Amino acid sequence: MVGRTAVERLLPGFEVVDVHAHIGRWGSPGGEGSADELRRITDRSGFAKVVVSSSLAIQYDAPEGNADVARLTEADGRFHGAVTYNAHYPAEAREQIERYAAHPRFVCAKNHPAHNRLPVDSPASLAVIELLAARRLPLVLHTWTGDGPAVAEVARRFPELAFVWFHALASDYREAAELARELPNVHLEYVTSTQERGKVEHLVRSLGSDRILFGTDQSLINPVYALGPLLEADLSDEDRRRMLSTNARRLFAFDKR
Amino acid sequence: MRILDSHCVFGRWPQEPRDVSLEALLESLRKTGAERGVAVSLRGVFYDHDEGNAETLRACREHPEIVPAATILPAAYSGVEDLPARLAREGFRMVRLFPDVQNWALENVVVERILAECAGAGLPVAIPVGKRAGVASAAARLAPAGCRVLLSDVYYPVLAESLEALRRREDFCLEVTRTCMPFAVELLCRDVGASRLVFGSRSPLECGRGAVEMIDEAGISPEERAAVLGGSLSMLLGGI
Ligand SMILES: [Zn+2]
Repeated sequence: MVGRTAVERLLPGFEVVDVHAHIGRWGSPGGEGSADELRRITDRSGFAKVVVSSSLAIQYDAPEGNADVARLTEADGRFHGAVTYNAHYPAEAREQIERYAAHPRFVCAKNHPAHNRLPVDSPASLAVIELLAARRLPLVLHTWTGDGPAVAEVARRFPELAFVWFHALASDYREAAELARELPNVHLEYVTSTQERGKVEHLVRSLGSDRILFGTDQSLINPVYALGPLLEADLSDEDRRRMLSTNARRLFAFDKR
Repeated sequence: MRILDSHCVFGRWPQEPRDVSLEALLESLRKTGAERGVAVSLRGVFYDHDEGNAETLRACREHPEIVPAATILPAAYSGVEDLPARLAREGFRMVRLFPDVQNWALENVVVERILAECAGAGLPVAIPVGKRAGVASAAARLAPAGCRVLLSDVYYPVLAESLEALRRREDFCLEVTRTCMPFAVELLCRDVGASRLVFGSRSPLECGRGAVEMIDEAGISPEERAAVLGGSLSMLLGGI
């Protein structure tokens, strides 16, 4: 086992892109959450590309956390950035989006309505999303049980903008698949620490594998744990390949930026 | 390495369209690579614990890969003394409680009696913690000495609290599955020791493969790995 990555052991021949990763801490025991630690974990996981946002940016200070992410992406080609904004601070949000939309290593914006206690369909939040839509900068969005109507309404309002619903509405994943069927600009990333049997198969059956993305939520969740449902799911290799890398490469165009 | 799953259920799931049949559980154990699973009939959780427990015993007689765990609904535990002693005589190896599904609080005096009777009968009690603050603390305060409690389904926001409960109570142990943060397995082995850590998947509601892989690749010794994946649970149940 030593010297072999998780991908080589568990998914030989596949490339894995993790669209949902963080640096920073989450107020619980576990790792230290540093950028160096994420690099070491990625040496072990063997993931080819990792899209990172900062938990400091999400929970407290967006500019400081985004700067941490920028440094990581500049130091190590496996990592790409998601610029986090807090729509309670419109001028700061605009400045951060403009700065990192121009940064060659950033591929999307990240918003966490629950941490900011600001609904995604609130006027303040919609004003920022308008900026993203004008730049065609995809928005990766924390979504959870009960959020379906609000996130769907926002995706309907901005058909030109690509959205990724992180956690695929958690236990409302059936609703997520149903909503996404009518919203071609919506992608689903399905990770949660609860690993419901049948969730991955259901998403693929009802939406197809073209708009489902693999994400881990590391530094909160161990990336190997996050692979579990995909390893157990009854899927074709082609479906796995799309979810693990093809779809993310198409959406984020890592090399074109 | 021998994998034993402490956390299994079977029957029907009335709250969502889920296949949690006995067949689904057996299939789920196979997929996880688990040799045996400790299981509770959901009839006992959602409907009647006597009927459910009887169903669990029948299923275990037919399928030796399932080890019987009983359940008791505190709201229905009246007019009966020492059900746990009878359950132990019937062959049950553990009692699993469901406060989250059944919507009751641990601070219930009936639960105090159940815990005391389980201690007397030598039956470990699995209590789901979930993400709820205060559950592990309440269990640590309320369980009488000698009551072996398995803190089950422990999520990251309450891990520190659950670890403190284990520090105070030598007779407590912890299910590692949902403690899925990077390096959590290593930290738990260091902090409380592998002999107090057990694998449990909540099969067939959830998949166990990710947790097994996480334990498999953790930076712990082969002896610790064997304990977490199965040895500690076997020990807790007096050998399975
Ligand atoms: Zn996240």
